Amino acid sequence: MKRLVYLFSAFAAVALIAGCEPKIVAVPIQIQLMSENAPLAVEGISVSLEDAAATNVFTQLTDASGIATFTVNPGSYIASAVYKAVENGKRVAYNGSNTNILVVEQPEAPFPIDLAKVESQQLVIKELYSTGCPKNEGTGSYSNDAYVIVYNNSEFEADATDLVFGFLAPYNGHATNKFYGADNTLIYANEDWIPAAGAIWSFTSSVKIPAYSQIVVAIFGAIDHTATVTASVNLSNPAYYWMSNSGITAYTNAKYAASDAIPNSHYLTAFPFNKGNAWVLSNSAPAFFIGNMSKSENERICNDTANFDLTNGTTDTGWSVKFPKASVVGAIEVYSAANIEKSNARFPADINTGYAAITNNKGYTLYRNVDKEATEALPENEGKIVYGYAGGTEDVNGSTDPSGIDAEASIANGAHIIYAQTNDSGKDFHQRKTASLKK
Amino acid sequence: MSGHKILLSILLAILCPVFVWGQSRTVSGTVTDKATGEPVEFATVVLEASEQWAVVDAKGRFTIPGVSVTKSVLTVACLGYVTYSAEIIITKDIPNFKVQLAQDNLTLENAVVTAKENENSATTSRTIDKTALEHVQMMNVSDISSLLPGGATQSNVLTSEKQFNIRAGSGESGNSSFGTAVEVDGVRLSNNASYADPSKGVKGVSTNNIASANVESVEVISGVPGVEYGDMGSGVVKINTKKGKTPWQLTMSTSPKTKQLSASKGFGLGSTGEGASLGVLNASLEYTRSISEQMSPYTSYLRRQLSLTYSNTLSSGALQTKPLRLSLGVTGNLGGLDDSADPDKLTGTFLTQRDNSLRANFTANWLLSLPWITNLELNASAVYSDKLSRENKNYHASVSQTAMHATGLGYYMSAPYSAGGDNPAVMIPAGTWYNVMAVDDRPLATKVTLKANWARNFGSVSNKVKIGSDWSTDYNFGVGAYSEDPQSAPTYREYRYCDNPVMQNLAAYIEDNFMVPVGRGRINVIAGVRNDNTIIKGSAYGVTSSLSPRFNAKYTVFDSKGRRDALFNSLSIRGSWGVAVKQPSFSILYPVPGYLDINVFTSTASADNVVYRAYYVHPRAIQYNADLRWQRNHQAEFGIDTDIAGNKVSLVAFYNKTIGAYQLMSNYERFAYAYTSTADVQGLPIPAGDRVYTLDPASGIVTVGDRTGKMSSLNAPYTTRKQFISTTFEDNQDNPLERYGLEWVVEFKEIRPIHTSIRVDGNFYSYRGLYSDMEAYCPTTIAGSDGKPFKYIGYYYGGDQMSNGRETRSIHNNVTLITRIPKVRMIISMKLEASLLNYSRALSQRPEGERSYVIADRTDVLGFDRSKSIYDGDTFAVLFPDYYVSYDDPNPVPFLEKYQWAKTNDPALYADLSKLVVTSNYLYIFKKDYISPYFSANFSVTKEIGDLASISFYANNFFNNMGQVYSTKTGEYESVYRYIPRFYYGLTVRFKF
Repeated sequence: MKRLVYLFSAFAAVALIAGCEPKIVAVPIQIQLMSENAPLAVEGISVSLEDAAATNVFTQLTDASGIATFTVNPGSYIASAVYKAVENGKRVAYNGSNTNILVVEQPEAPFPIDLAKVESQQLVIKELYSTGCPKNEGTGSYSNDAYVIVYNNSEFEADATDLVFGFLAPYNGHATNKFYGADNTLIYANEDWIPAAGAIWSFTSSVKIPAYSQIVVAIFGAIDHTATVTASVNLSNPAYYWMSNSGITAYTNAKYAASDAIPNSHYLTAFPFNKGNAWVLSNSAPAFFIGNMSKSENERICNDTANFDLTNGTTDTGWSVKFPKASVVGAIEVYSAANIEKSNARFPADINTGYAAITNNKGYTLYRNVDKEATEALPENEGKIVYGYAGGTEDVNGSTDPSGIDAEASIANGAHIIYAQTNDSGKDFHQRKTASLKK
Repeated sequence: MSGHKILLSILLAILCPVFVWGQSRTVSGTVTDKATGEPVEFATVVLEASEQWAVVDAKGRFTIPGVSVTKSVLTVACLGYVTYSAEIIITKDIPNFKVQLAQDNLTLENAVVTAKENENSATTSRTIDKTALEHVQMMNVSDISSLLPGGATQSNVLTSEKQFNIRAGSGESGNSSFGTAVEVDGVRLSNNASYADPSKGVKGVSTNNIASANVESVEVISGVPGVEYGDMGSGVVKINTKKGKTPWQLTMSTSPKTKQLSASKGFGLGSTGEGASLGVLNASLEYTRSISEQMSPYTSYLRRQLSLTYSNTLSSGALQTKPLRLSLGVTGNLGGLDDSADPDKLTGTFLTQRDNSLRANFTANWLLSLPWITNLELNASAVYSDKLSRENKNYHASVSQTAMHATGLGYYMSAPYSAGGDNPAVMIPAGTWYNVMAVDDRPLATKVTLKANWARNFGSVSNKVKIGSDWSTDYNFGVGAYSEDPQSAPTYREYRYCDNPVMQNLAAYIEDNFMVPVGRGRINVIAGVRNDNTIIKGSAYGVTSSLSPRFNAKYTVFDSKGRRDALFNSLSIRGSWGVAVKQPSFSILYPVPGYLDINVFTSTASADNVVYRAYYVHPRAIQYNADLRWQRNHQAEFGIDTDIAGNKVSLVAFYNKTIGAYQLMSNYERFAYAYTSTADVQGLPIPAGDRVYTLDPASGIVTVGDRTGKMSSLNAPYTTRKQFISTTFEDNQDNPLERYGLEWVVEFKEIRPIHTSIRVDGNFYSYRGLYSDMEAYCPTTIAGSDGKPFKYIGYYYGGDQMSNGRETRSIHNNVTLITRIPKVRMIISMKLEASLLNYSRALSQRPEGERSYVIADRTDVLGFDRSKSIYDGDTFAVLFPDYYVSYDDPNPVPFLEKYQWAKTNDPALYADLSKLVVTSNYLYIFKKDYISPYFSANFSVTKEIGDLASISFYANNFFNNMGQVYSTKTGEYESVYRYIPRFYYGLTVRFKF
């Protein structure tokens, strides 16, 4: 009995001592997401709040005002938020933190997090193949099998309906470039346009590209080219698209052909403004770009002579259409490996710097390098990335993907690839031995 | 002689030729070799005044009976000898006139290795004889152009065609080389039956297949020729081959790109039992091979030529006093271009172009010496050429292709060749294949000439009348383009040249040539007229007549006779004027028709890459032009020839005007057709793999059937497209082309101590051509602002190019040092060719002023400034059409006014009309272009080794000038090789035995 008395007394003493400590009361706090000095009023963004000891991490979603509300004990906290989205066809990432959140009592105003906004294109040129391959006879080049792959470099579905395709004058990087002024700079470097040549292609129906997926656009022949040229590619696939000459008065060249498999909803159309029976994409050194423009606007700018530039020629054999720089989505400056020293850039620096070199008539393509860090950072890629890429070339002026990631094998393995986007063709692309479509 | 006496003499000469016939005499004599004393058989003796002649017999004797003139120049000519010439007085019979002929070799003090002025000619005429030809070692007879005043040496390869082009430059309008007449032994080489693409201008006959080793001399008449020369524009080139009894001659020539072997001999055929000569047979064989590149010596031109000429003079029996000289020649050439051995070409592909020819000629010259006729001459010739070209090409197609052979208007769907029938739209399966396409081109030109000469003296007045007629024909036996494998032939249309009618020309001419002594000199007047009647039976062109009057006069103030110590040894002035008419070529009269094949439907490709294509075929046969006139050339020249203290000076000023130059024109016509898009057909419910396509040939409607029979056939939707189609036709340029210039030759007296003479020759040449026809242009290959085919045509004064003409001026001067060392039988020449002025400028002119306007900014074409001149310097320019028409409204609308209105009121029209506005690409388009002077030096040496052999060596551009020339137009330097040949050299060895 005596023992029970002692034990009770001890409990009572402890309870008394404990009851003498100050009472700790959790308080509500708000975190306001900010971007460019204005509230980022987006609902559902996950905001993390981590205490100074890094022992507790709280997570809340923002409301419609971009505010996340927490109830925490007073103390020091670090708040951070990441938000990715597609705005106006561009991939955007908001990222930021506030390391100076000191909670003493319920604050009167929300704590801000200034989020830095990083933009990148959602759609990228993944691969361009226009330089041909050897014919079966061993001599002569075959280049009717040109294609371009457009890739959705994001985790969001892309609307590519207004995607357009074009190239700049002059046709070849090593050709005489009349756009270079006396000071040896491009006369349109500081203008708001670039000189498109030939025609600009638009889709004729709605085109959606799922996250981390691609579309293939055949440039001349959407057929199985391997039937006559074994080194070529099979572009007869119902999922593929075709730059169709159907309905285009001038484009009568017999290299335009599409297989039965291509639905007419996958036909592209163009509004030629230069003389010629085909779209004369260079088979050695084009300056190729993709842009964002409605089909009707494409038609307008290609027919409006007031929008023509006459530097490259004053008649329909040479004049150019001014394509707005702001509408450019992606670009690749290609130089012929044999003519690098004679070549001049056609894209101004605010669109692209550097060049990708290619040797023609070997079946080589220009393939975009993998953004290793970004790709490896995707949690869903764990265990799916294939390394040891050997698809590059070792020729003189050859190149390979410095990431070492075999993108196609990784994709086949279920990985999501994020490709590099530095807007430097020399860093973004490498010369690939074999077309990625050639299985 | 007073003026009225001269006039009287002229009247006498023209009106009373038949009724005056004086006493006749006989001139006889012998002709022997000066060195050996041997008779020179077959030498020709001619009395120039009476045009009577004789041929020396085996004993060296000649006789010319019935001579009525009292004074004449007697010439004696024979192959291998220097022509003898002397004035003789014939007041009585001359029984034993002795002539000793000197052998023509380098032991002579006055061997000539340049072009020699024909001093007796009343117009500009020059002769290049054997010594000069051997010295320059020509491989192509056109190479002798470099010996004419101011002539520049060109590369001597034969792999590209060369033509003569007298008193004209390259790149000029007016088809000047087509108008240069070329004759070999009197046989006219005609390019009239050519079907070459007329859009590139009509070229003259190629001289590549004329054997150069067998040429004895070349005469170039740059001035106004006699009326016996028709079908020409400017210039006559007469090539004379070797004739007469000669020893064997073997020649071997080599240069880095050309090798030549030749052998020739003139065989005496002996005599009959009665002593009459059986004549002489000349045989010549030549093998020449030329390559285009030393680094790839596989594309070659080959010339293998055999020439046989038989000549004889019948002067026995009834012909004893009226000898008849006969000549019959046959020349065959096998050769052409061949690149089949070129390893750089795709295996199996090749191009061969035959240049075979057969020339035959017959001449009978009958010396009648009658009171009303002196000579009667009959010439007949035929030139047949085989210019078959064959080209084997490699083809590849990833889907089936369609080769069009349809010639009728309408719609055609492709079908496999195996489907049989006369399939005009052949489907060629996908894959790789080869096909040989050939063009069979076999022109034949014939000519028969009959002419009579009548020569008489009336006192001191010498008069010659020439009356003649010729009949020439041009025809082509070729069948045009064909394929050696119709299954895989590319698109082409059969167009049989041989189905076109013969072009005949019947001409008559009369010419009087009289010489009147005046003071210490004489006046020589040649006046004549030629009437040509071109007859094309079975053609809308029918009969075309033309008149060509020609006039030459030469006043020899005094000549060298009796003026040995005078400062001025001789002086003569001359003037010429004449008209020449050039018949059209077949490429002008009946050019190869073009076809517009419009792809109106293309199916999708099946699993085996079969694509059906439908075409709307619109023939674009070049229209007959009722207004087409034969191109005419008006020539005038004035010359002075003098000898001052042994220095010979010749100056000639000329003016040529080409009227109605042949010119390809274009126009447009409206048409509409049904178009079916692939996309529309692909949207039809019948599965693509089951579709069967048929086409209504009249309406162009495509019907899609279901091969499984499960679904009904469907007519594919179509749209009607309207557009313009261009048509072309031959016409004459409205504006004449003008050329004028000055030619000079100064031959300085030899500097005896060093056996060296200096010759300076050169020319100033000016050309101005302005195109003034109203020509249409429609950019048919681009769409209008509505996305449909462009529907406007602009009509431009002088065409739709920024410039409508060009002017050039040039001065070329050559200085030649010639050292003759007769003792060692050697001659050395060094020629410095200099271009002292090379000027050109593009023009844009119309009668009221400049045809284009200055703009400051090419994007602001309506901001033109008429107060400024396009010729003032660096400036952009704009050209507007005078008016335009639209597809829907054929009424012409003044362009500029409407264009200015549309800028603010109708943006779509403004956009469309903007596509008819022409702006200059460069700031310097109308800037004067002076090319800085450039030079090239040639060196040649010929050495005879006794009578047995001779050797010649040349080095052209031997200083190896690799410099640059400056262009004031572009402000840039360019390689001089555009104007002078690269360093090259050659060697020739000749044996004579």
